[in-house]
Amino acid sequence: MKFNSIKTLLIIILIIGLLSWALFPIFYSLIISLSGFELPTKFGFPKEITLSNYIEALKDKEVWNAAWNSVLIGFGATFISIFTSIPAAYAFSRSNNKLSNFLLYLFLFFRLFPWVALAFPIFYLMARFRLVDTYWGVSISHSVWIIPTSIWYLKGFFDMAPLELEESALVDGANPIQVLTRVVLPLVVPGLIAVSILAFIASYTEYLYSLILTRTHTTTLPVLMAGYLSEFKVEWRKISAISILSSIPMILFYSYTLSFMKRGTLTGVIKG
Amino acid sequence: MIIWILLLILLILSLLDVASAQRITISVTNRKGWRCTEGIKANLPKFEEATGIKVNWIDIPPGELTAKTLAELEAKTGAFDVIMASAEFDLAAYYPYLLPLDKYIIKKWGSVANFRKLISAQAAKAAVWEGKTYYIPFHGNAQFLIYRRALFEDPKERSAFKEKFGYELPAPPKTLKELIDVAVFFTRPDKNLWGLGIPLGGKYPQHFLEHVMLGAGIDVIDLNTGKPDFATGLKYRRAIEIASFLNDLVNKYKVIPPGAKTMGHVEMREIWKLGQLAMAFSWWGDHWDVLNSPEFVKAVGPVGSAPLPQWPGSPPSRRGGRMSIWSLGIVNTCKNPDAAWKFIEWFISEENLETEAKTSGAASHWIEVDKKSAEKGFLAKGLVESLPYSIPPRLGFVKQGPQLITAFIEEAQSMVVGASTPKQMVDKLLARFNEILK
Amino acid sequence: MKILRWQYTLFILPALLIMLIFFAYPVILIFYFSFLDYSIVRHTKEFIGLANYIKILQSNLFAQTAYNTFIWVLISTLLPLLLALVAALLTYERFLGYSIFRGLFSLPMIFIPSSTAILWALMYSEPFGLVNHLMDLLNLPRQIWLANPSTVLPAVSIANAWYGTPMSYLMILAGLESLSTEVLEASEVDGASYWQKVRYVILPMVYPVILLVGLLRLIDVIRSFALIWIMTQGGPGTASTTLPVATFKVSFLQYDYGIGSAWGVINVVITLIISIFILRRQRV
Repeated sequence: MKFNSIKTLLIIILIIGLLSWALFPIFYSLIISLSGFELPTKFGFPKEITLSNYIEALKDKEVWNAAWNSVLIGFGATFISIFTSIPAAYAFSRSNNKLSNFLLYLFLFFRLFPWVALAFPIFYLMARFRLVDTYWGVSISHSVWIIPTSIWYLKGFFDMAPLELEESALVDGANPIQVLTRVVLPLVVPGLIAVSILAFIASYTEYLYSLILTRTHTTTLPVLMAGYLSEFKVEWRKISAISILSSIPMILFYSYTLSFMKRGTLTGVIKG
Repeated sequence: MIIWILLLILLILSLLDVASAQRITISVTNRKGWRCTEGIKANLPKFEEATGIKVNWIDIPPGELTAKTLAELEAKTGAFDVIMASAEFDLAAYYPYLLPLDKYIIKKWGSVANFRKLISAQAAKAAVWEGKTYYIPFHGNAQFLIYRRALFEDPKERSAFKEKFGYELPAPPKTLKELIDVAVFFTRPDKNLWGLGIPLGGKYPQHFLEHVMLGAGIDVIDLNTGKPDFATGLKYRRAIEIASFLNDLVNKYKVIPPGAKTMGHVEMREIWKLGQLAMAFSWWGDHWDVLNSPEFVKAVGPVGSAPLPQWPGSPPSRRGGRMSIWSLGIVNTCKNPDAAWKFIEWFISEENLETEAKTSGAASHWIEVDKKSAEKGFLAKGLVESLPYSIPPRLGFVKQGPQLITAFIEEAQSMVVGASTPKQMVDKLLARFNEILK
Repeated sequence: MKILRWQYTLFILPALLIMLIFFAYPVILIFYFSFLDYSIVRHTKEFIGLANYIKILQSNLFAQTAYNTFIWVLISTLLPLLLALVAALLTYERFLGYSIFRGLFSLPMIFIPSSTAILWALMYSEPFGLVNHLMDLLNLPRQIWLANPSTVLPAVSIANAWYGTPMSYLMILAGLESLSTEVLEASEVDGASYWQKVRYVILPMVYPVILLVGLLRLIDVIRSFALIWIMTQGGPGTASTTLPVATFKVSFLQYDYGIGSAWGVINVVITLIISIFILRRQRV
């Protein structure tokens, strides 16, 4: 394609505009988190660049506690949802009767449900089970939302796996569980990793259920950070530092999504 | 496969809550980041060492405190043993879930009457429900005015003021008219100086309105009838005037920094420190030590304090406006009420209450302690002059309190940001109150 | 395809069990609660039929909430879609620095909603925020973006749009890259200009992808709660109260679980009707 100079200029302007839209908030937050004593009330760079806000954030036991909780609950939710979704997705992929079709659509229905509507009943239920402010309770509440999505994605991967190996294993007298764990799962490992990452990230970013189901013992990062905003907006420098630090695990998701793009299969996964 | 099993075991182990079951543990709620209890929190190890009782100190962000406490109490989760309640809205909502403390009070002070003599009359009223005592107060506070003394004493400013308004610059203003004059005088947006800083984000417009209304003799809710008392007549007109007063400060005189609409008092304190305010009104009892710290005095000079001028034609006995009473109570599902009582006893010990006054500047409702704190200069003049003449909001004394305050906050916010006029606000407020109280 | 027998349905059991206990049962509970006068501040719990629904549908709050939800969904769906489309059209030809642009433009994705809320609350804050610094540069009056009933909803929606743009961008880009190059080359041979090519060749071809991305985003946005709650709590007044925010607020700040549950049911019905309508048309 040929570009004349005006077009090139236009495109460059557009690119700069788009990039500033995406990057300015991050850049500004970064500047604030690196600035010294005074916040700028006029446009300009801070007089003093310092890492002290990050050090202060990293010294805060509360932040570490919340980060640890987030990661633990993330693993818990991933674990629960993956280990229940694998057999379910496999069954949905391999059986084609009315019951399983009905159940499959039921799971699609779950996926569309507005989370906030169930906030109170979930709290009520967890309180009955004595699961409020426990890692299990929060993990389960997250996995309720992750399971339907995971099943949809995993079913897609199972559908793509070839059937011949399974058939021969069944003929050899292996039972269905053996077929699943020995033959089919190794074929879908990349898909499994993808779904695990998405599950972990879904739990890591979850706010609403963490808010209502945690007190202090299991407070997660999103809840802790939202709490800062409600009352202590003066600590902009520190909370900017924390919000930047909190995105470290998200780099996993980010790089994964980008690398997925290269293979051009993203839409397939998203469509589920 | 083995790796999977190991992982599984590891996960289960890590998810199990390893509770230290050997020691008696009591769980205590606290408003997270509240300067008034930070000092007491720092003293906790002493208590734990002396009694062997472990304290599980649960910090809950202020905005969620009532919602979380009520939900947990209603679900009977047993998560909290000692709860913090406030006369602003939740005394009446909590007490059905609490343990009467008369037994302990009689043991400690001989009789309930003796106990009630030790605390302020308002706190004594707030402690008793249906003839039984449920609450032990530990914190008393009121909103008051602070002003930059150096600015007010500057001869140049004084002569300029006199020239413009025809009378001496009052330090501090004694009437609302003077307050407006002084605020208008010092408001210089081009120099980033504002006359009067009132935090107006979130719940704060409601705090201001209720302060002036209570000071003007409007109870908001009449406890005898259980209905709003500003529905008709003089009080209705006065409520509209008070709402208009706030509205005028924001939109007509424009003496409040525009950013105040998203601020709380912590942020307003930072604006104060930047030297952008001549006067400010809020819960300065939470920050009195900081306002007087060398860092602040170096930045903006010494600080003076005074009560907010009262609404003209109001009963002088109410000139202090709105007071807060924060108290402790024991949840009736508590497994170790004796340990919980020991904690409360320790919490309100003279040492702790003095720490509270020293590290924040708040009073305690304990008459002797407050007298000493005032003598030692821990309390602001504005607070000492306000507190005896103020009353706690009536919303805390009706069981729908938490619901009423949500409505009040919403309507006050709407007016401050210009979504409704003062009259509309008062009318809407009355309609919503009547609906809730029906 | 059908090599497995009905027994495999048993494999679904663990997932189904969790969903029944922690999903289906709460769903039943909200329907049940929505017919009760259930308030923990008034200590009531009695059956009152449809009164809660009637109260909500008659209230001003419902009309305002519906309007707010519409604006919120509109801005936070269309804006990212538009920006993502422009960015995708600019970049699918893999110019020099393509992967750098893609990486940087997708960067907002690495934040969690709470961080996004903090980032944008800082952007909008007065006197420290960047948005107001920019207003100074443009000689426009400073605004209190999050405390002005007419700007709060667009402001929060823009924050949400910022957060949602990268995902829309990557999906549209994937759609564009999967187009067959032959048609594009053919159009170039025909001497079509760049705009003609975009208008008559590319857009019609990626239209299904754009629609899909937009609709998936819509389904997400209509349910989303975290960002708006953290930034404004539905305020000032009720100026930024959307359907999920109202549902949460009535339950947890007005302590009225009966009406809160009725809000929840209304929320569910509206969301599901829209989602199912969309998905049936789209056959996703």
